Amino acid sequence: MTKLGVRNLYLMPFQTFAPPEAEVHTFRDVVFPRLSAAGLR
Amino acid sequence: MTEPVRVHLRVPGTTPMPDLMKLIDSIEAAGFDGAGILDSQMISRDTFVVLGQAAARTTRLGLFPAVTNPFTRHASVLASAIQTVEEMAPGRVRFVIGTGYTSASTIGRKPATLAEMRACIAAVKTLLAGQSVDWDGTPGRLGYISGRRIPVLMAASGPKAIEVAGEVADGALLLVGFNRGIVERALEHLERGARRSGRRVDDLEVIWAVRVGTAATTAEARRSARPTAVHWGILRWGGHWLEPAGIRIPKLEIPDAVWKITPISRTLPTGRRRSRPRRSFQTTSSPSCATRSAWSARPSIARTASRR
Repeated sequence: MTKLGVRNLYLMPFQTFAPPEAEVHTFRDVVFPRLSAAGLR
Repeated sequence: MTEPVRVHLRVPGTTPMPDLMKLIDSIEAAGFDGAGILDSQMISRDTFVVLGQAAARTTRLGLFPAVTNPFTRHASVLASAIQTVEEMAPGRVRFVIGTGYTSASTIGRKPATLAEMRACIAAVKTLLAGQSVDWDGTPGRLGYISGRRIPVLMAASGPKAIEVAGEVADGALLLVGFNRGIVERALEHLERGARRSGRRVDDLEVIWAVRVGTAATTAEARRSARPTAVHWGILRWGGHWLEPAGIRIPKLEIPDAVWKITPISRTLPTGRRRSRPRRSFQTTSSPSCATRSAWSARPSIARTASRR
């Protein structure tokens, strides 16, 4: 997707009206480190 | 290093402000690039109040309403609000506006038309540029612009809306689906709109809305995604984006039991719409608000349950 120029994401958690605490933790602990390792952060 | 991937997170104002601000703190600390504050006045705390408070306690996080609309506030109020927030978070603010969803359905009206979107976006951009807008013969301008640019983005889901966004806005927040075929098709529409105003897609900021869920297992995550996949992928936009994604589904029939739970016929495409009236949702005390959405139906459901 990055080859198509997709580099700007807006995350919309499935639980629309619940605080996205799980997503905060997951991206902090798992996703962002992986993006960093791939040179994308 | 290649160009980084920026990640923003939607924040619903459904918890008390102190808790909401702690969440904002955690979002910035976690490394997110931005937070979009839900604008749905009957469900979520006021977007611009939350943005102002968030601006005062963050130093890096990008902030934007996600997304506001052209009918619950006058265009001059919208421009004033975002300009005020920007003073508290210089260079960190965007303005994102769409046709409205629950902000419309919860007050018994339809989403804004694309003509209304054009007019509002033009007015807000003009005001934020420090120029005067003619309000039916009364010229007016903001008296306190900062001179810093506030990008005005339009949220869009359908082809025509995407083209309008490409034509009139500084960028687009695209709610279309996260799939190569869909992305390519959406960019074609955005390019078509951009050309109308002598621009190219590369001149625009494009943010891709992505539905996400976290779970302990993939199976659990898929299960939690099913309602969203059906609602957004099939019902709300009539499955428009399934074809570029290479997905074919049989004709969809909605069981009667489902009609009794949520009034979704408004969102069904021609040919899949049921003709039966949804009288079961017309029992609220405010007829003008009845049948608009699941939200308007909830009070009647609750009252029915309490009588049992």
